[in-house]
Amino acid sequence: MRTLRGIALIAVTSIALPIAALATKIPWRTFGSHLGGELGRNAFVLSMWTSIVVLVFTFLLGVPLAWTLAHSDDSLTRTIRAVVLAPLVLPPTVAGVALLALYSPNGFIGKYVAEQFNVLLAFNKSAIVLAGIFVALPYFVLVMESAFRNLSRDYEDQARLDGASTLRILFAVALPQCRSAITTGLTLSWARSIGEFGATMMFAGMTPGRTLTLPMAVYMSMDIDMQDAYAISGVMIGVAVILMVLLRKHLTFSLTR
Amino acid sequence: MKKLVSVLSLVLALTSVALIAPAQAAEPVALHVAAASSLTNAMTKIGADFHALYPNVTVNFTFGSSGTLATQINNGADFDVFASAAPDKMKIVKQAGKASNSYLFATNAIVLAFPKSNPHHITKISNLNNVNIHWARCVSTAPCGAISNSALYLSGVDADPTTTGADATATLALLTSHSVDAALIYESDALMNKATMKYVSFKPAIRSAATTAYPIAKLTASTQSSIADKFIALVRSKSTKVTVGAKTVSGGQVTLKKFGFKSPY
Repeated sequence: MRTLRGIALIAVTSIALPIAALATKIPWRTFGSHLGGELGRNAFVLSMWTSIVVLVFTFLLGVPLAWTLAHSDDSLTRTIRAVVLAPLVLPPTVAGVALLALYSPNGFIGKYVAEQFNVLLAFNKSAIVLAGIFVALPYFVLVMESAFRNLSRDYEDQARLDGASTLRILFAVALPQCRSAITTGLTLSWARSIGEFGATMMFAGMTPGRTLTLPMAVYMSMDIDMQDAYAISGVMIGVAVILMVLLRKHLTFSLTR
Repeated sequence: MKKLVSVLSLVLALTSVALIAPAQAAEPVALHVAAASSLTNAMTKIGADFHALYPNVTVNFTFGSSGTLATQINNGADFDVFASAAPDKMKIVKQAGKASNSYLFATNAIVLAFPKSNPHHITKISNLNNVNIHWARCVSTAPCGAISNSALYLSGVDADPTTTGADATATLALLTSHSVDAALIYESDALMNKATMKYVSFKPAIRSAATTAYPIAKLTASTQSSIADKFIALVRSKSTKVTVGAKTVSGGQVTLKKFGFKSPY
């Protein structure tokens, strides 16, 4: 037991120490002046609301997908699951190149959309959302499918006997039992999408005020003033800490209840 | 007796192997060079040439945006040599006391490159004011972006780019992947890709604003001082033949010209 505890301690410090080291470098006294001014402000606002938009789409797309995967067991399902989880193992830069191949003005869908609707799907805010969904959806589906599979089928069967439609079962029976899973899934997705850097850098671009998100602002400020980089990083850590504190009661690893 | 004979034979065999083994090569050494990403192909060749001249030295390159590299150096990153795509990033490193003497070793101009088929009929820089052309340049904080901005301003282009690349390599990638129709990239990259792309240059009067000079310097914290000096000497060498021992390679300036760079003077 002591060995296990010892190793557990090493594991915790391997995560806590780098964050603590960064915290010591944050210029607390001149914090405001190092937030990169307009660059930092715009990046913060952009990151916040694009990540929320991603969250909405992740939920709307992820729940039906997770439900479908949880209720079938054939080889087609296994293939679909593998495809959906692919972004988890794809390096972000590869994801960026893939998104460009499809959505850039010369890409298969991008070209059609540009010609028919005069709308760009790459190099703007919609690209940030598309990239966010691409990388975040797998996390949500992973967690939700697990949760749905863990639900006792008794409630479902009873509801069906009573004449409830699948949609009704989903909203009235299944989802209320999965509150922890929903919170965990959405938190993982939100964290992944707000931290997205590699794919967004290529696919959305790094234009301050337009597509420069918080992670890219940290990267760019390293070219200007390292103190700015530490300060903006401090903001991201602060947001993470606030979120963890607010959700501490809901982030459990029993995926039902 | 038999055992003694076999042991003695073994000892004899091992000793002979040790005696006839080739003479100990000089201790293997690594030289860490931080270089602007536009130098990737040229520097890799020069590094290979240097290794051919000094087989015990392996040149390890880290390519990236000069600004990011300068920041890393000023924060203690363990490089021996820094080759920057702009004098101002070298100045930042010198001001922090991380380098003393630097030497200009190449120049490169920003040009407007586009696919050979040229579907948007680009003939001059001011065509970029046309909203139908999707184009990219480097971000303003990278040297390639800063000079692109100056040159565009002087050319009367006030349109914003469709997107920006983090450094010269990323911007080139946006063009070669056909994600954009045109991009402001270095002439060296355009020349290297001349099989698939064409380019137009800025007007001669503006060309100097669109040109950057590359300084190289040995970093004061380097533990491989003499090897770093030799590497910089190779980069600066104009000779077509540089010989060390039995090996001959091209001088760095010759290699750089092959990769589309122009001389620093």
